[in-house]
Amino acid sequence: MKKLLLLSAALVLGFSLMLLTKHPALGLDGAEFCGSCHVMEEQVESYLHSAHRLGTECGDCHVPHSLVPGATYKAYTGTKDLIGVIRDKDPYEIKISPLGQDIIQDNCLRCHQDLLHLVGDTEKDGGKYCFDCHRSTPHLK
Amino acid sequence: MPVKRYLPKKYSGVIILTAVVIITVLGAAAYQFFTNNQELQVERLGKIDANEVDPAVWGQYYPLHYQTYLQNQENTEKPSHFETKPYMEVLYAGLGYANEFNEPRGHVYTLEDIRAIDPSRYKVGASCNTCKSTQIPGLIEKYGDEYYTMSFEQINSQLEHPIGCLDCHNPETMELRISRPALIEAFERQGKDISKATRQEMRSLVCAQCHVTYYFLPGTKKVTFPWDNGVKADQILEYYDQKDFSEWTHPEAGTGLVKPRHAEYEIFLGSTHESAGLACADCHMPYMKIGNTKVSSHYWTSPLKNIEQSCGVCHREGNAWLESRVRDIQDKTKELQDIAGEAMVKAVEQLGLARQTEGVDKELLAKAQEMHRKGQWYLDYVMVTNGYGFHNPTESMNNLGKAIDYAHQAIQLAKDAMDKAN
Repeated sequence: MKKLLLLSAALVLGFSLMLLTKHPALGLDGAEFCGSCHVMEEQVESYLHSAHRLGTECGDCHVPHSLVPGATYKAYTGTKDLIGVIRDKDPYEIKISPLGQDIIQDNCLRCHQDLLHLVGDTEKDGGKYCFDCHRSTPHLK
Repeated sequence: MPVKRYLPKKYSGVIILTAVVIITVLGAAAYQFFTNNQELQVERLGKIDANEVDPAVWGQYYPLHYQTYLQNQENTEKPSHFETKPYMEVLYAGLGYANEFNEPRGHVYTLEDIRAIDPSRYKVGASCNTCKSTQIPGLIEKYGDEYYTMSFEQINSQLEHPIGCLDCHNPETMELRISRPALIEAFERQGKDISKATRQEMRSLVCAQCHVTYYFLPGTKKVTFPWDNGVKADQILEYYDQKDFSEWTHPEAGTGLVKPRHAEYEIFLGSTHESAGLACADCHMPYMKIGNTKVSSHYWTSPLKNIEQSCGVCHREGNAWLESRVRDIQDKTKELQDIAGEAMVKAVEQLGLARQTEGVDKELLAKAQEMHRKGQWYLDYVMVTNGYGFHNPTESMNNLGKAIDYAHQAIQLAKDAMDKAN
């Protein structure tokens, strides 16, 4: 019984710590943090030359907006990237994952839905993602 | 009596072992992380010398940037300012500017153009070379403050390269750097440390090394930015007034005047675009696609030449509409500037007449000249600042409005001084 209590306390603590990664004060969504892995330099550089730098941070597009899915995804992708660097297995060319594509699409719509009120989600029914055409927004690739 | 332990003895070994294992694993992971997380390596043929003044040498390592730098040669026109602003000639009487004053044609022509201009324009001496060549910081280091008092030719004859890479970049890291002492010192006098500037601030500050108003400190002839009270037109005029400084006396009007110079940086501060977080480089050095890569363009010219890449990053309304908005601002600024220029010429003429009037009221005449000094300052501040008001439309219009009012006050006071002649 006591062990179970201890275990669930640890789980709750871990979960709360994970949720904390969404707190803006920690800066875990920004280009400075994401760019601390040098492999992201090109992405950081092209972002800093784009209009999106004036209103968004990396996480605004690349991480789900809501708290629990956002923190969970951030923990997952962050750990994955960290292990990637530790194992020296970071990709030669950085490409977005299928899950990452859907997240970005949702975030495009989150801000630009007014613009798309007649069209709706461009990706529905076998359509295209926004960035299939807007290739350079905000990165080069 | 047994010692009471917090943990049973049989566990302590396991705990210590676990701790050691965890620390070792974390340490090894951290070590691996930092070893693998290296800056991206770009294959380089060699190293650029710390004082490499020749842009062509840098070009071997950064061919794409250099390619855009060479585009500066496309700006070949340098029409006289007097063609479009004839009033300038009257207002600058007594200065070298009245003899020849041309529109600038870009960074790669700095040496060629200063050597071709009427020599009255560089009679101050060596200081006039300060923003003309990559070699200047080295020469200032070599001669110290003596540099500023040397003759124009003593320095100019040593110059081979116009404005280039070394003026703004650290050759080793390619980071932006400030190479001109005047800007560093102006910051110090304002109690600010320029080395603390952010990357985004530096993307304007490297331009502010030269695209600012300045004067030559009386005596030492040192290039100095008059920013102690602030960088806006009224604050700079206040600075000169406090020092009782005049650059020259207008021969016809008899007014002690001060001369603003291309205050692009100053007027840009506080503008719509600056307030939105932009720097000079955002519009003047847009990201351009060359082949399969993007570089920031080093062709410094009107962003209207690349509307798509400069304005289009944020404004999606299309080239024609964007250009019409810019032209609208520039045309209206020019219209108001012409009105102010004509009014100021009339003020000069009226002051000339008043000075020739026997027994003219000295006190009123002095007041009229004070109005002329203020008015011409505000007008000139807009007139010589590149961009025809676009760098900050409201402030440009505001300054021109003041200039028109001061010109009419000067005319009226000069007339009053004549009327009161005994």
